[in-house]
Amino acid sequence: MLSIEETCRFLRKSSFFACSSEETVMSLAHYSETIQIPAGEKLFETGEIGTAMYFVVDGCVRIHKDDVVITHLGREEVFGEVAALSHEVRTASVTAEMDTILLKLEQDAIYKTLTAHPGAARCIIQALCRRESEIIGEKVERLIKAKVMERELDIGQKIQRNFLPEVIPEIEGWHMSGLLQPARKVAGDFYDFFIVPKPHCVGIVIGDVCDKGLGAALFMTLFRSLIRSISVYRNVVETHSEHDDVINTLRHAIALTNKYIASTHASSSMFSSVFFGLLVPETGQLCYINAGHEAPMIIGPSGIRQLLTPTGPVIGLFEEAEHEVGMAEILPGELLFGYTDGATDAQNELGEQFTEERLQSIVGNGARNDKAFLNRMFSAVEGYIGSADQFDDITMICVHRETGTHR
Amino acid sequence: MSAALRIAVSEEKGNVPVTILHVTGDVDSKTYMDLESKASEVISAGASNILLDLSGVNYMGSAGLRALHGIVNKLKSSGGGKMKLLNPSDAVSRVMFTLGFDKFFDIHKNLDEAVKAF
Repeated sequence: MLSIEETCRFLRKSSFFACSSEETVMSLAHYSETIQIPAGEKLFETGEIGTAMYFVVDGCVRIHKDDVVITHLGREEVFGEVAALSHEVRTASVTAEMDTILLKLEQDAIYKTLTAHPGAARCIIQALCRRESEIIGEKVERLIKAKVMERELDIGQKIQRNFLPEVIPEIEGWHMSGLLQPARKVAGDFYDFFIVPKPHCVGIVIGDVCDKGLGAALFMTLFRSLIRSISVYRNVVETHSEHDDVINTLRHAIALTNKYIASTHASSSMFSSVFFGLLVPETGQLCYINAGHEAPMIIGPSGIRQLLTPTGPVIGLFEEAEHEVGMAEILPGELLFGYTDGATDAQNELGEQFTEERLQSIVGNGARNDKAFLNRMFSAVEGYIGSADQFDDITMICVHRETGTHR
Repeated sequence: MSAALRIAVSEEKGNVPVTILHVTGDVDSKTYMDLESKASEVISAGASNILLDLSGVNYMGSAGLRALHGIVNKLKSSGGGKMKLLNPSDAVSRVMFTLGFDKFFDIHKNLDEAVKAF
């Protein structure tokens, strides 16, 4: 508890009352109340009706909106003046960072003092104008920084688009397409289609780097490029069996990518789930490694015929990870559909998830156009999200084998 | 909206001293740093055997799994140590299984067994 003299001394230090008369400061000191708030306690919340302003005597408070910290205020700083001097609601929440002592001044007391000592109004108006001018200055600076950042992100977004296949391999009897809807400007999801010249096959990739935003986007480019470059450019030690060569290419690409990121970037703890399949177009045979990714599905005339479940853990974290190679076949008229968890975890306005069950229940059956199929699936998820926020990237790929292709 | 993370710390004495972090809430991209910083705090204070009690965690996203690996890294760089997991919910277990984390972490169902396993 501060004495009247200490309170007066303290109020004098505040720009709001620095130029006020002795009588004004004495009157305010008389009305003010010393309060203590323990560390972690919230003083008030955004949107509350407030009738007091506060001066920090000792300690520190955090000004925030939900989890976003706007600033910290320490000794001799003032907050809550807008709500105290007007009928506006609190514009931010305030929580004590440590045990804190505050001087609290109620609106009634301020206006009573201003009525009795009209000269004090000038000091308050000047302080408010100074505060307003500082806030405008900060806003302009933040706006400029945000614009610069926005431009950088736009450039990043354009560059990242180049990491998705611009041209999908054209293979007789097959149709492939993919779509990626980022939750933010840049994405941690990726997909890829590319020709592997030796052994001749088509690489099919869908992956999801952990977390989201810029960090995930940087790693997405690394995972995607390593898998593609190792598969396409490696010198194949040919065996007598093309099938074995395909399996070796798969193993090699995943093992090297995993080892490189897990050893070189261990401290980042970044990882990716990846489905990587090598398709032999002539036979429809698909050898794959599913590194902790949502199971892609092969859909035939009777619906889902096969789920390509994980054959090993995610890549990029555990150097000693091992991955089995799975075997499947896409028959004429069937399609392979892969997706990332942004689709199944998508939430509607009520916070309910789309779920894997719902996704599986709407895939339908039989032959269809690859693009139309993807659009139908994506529209279903988009429609479910409605006006809620899309909080994760959504990626889908589809590989359709025409009915007329035979072995 | 994710549930805020609460982390209580307790100590158990098995074959070695074990620091238990009782985590409650969702461990996602908004909260995983709270888990990392609490773990760093106990590691800096000398803890080298950490048991993460996940019985109060309803949801763990990929950011949360990243945090688990980050804690193991922190233990390694602080002179070595072990981390084990206790009682993940069915939903968390399913995520760990799909992503293959179950093969790289010791997961226990019973507190006494988990403490003795260090």
